[in-house]
Amino acid sequence: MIRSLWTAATGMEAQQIEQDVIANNLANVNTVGFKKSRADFQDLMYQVFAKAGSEMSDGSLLPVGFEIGMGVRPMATQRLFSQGDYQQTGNPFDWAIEGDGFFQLDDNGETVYTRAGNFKVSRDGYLCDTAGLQLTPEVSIPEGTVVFSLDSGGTWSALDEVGTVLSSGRIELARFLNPAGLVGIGRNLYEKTEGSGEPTTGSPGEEGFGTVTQNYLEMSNVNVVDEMVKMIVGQRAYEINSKAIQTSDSMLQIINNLKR
Amino acid sequence: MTIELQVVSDSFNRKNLRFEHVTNNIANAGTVGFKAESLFFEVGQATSAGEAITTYEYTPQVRIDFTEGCLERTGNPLDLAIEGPGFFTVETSDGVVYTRKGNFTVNGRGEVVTQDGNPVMGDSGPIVIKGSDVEVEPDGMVTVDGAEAGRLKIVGFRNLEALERKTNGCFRDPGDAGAEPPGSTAVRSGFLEQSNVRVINEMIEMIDIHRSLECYQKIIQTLSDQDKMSTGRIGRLI
Repeated sequence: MIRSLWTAATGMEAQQIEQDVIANNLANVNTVGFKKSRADFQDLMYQVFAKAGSEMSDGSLLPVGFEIGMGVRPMATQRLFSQGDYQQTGNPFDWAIEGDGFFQLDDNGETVYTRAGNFKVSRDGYLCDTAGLQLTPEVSIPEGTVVFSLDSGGTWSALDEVGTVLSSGRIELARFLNPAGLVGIGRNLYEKTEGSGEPTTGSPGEEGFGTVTQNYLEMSNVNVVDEMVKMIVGQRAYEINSKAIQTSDSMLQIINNLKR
Repeated sequence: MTIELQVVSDSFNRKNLRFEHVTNNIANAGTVGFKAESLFFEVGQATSAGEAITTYEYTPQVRIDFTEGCLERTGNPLDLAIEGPGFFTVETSDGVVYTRKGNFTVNGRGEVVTQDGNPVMGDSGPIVIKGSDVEVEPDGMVTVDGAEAGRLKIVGFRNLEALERKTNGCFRDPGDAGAEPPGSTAVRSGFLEQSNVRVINEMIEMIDIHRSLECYQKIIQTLSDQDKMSTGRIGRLI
């Protein structure tokens, strides 16, 4: 009896976490370069009362066992790195990666990774993200730059009004064996972990790296319809788990009323 | 009198045990790859006590429902679902287990693993993915950037009832489940098999249990009233 109360409570808790993840996905439906997450659940351990194959009192063998499950627990939130939609912005410093790879940013000497390509020019003339972290390898925009161009292979050049090349270079992207193992640290940034493996860096368009497109941004990969459906399913599951708790409660009441 | 009470309270307890299975099913109504279970009682030998009452021995047994859950499209290439019978093979620290929960990922070494980090077996050891473009064919062949990385080991069982349940949607073969190559199965990449718990059935079971308990309560109360009457009147002349 008490077991079922707690079992149903784990069910409600799991659905609560499902809603938390969905809410975060929906909150970031307009966040550039955002990648949605999904909660993964696992059934809890089973309390075994009789193993299949054990002997019964009359000497015959039990064909199937007898065990009681203890509910569910959230196990992981998995980030899904599917491609987001593209949005044309017309801004030369808005870049989208089409395919695999991350931009690398320098966060006080440590490299962090992002798919959000909405870069700005910092005060000292380098490209950086909205929070001011500098893109590596660095992209410098000298004074007097009028035209900035980036081709799909990542080669960039800054030109002045008469077309003289002021500076040029090629950007690099980083790839991971297991991007789902990256840890999100907020601000659209990811850090590598042991689970993600070490990054391999390379030029866009080569060896499996995606290409880059100027004047476009990769939007969030959250699909609102999917999230809504998951929300409905989650809410109903929450409801039925609460019904199980109510029933447990009512059954306890019946037991209490056995003695008048 | 006491035997009657015992019979009713045993029924009471059996319903209670059933309810614990119902709540576990409901709690896992949203768990990928979960297989619902139901408790039933095998009626054994009858023992007669006195004239009127016959009591039976009940053996609780859990039957796992191995019907397929419906497939949900996720689009993630390492979300795999098996259409038809069969299980993925997973290596864990306490031996090989089998699962239909196919929300796989890769670890830092590039091996295909379950969400708790145990490697998924191919025909020849773990499947290692080095590259970005992963495809899984219906026959279980994993190709990475066009090159074959290994075929997933899919196992079927002649005697599903013998499988022992482990946590996380996994099952262990105690040795008599009769592993065999599966029949007609197809691996679907980008799909996940949902829980096969049928919430309506569980709801109805819940109502049934609840009302049964109410009924038992009334019986116990009636028996207790009878007891009270008989004990109260014994020795009273009029």
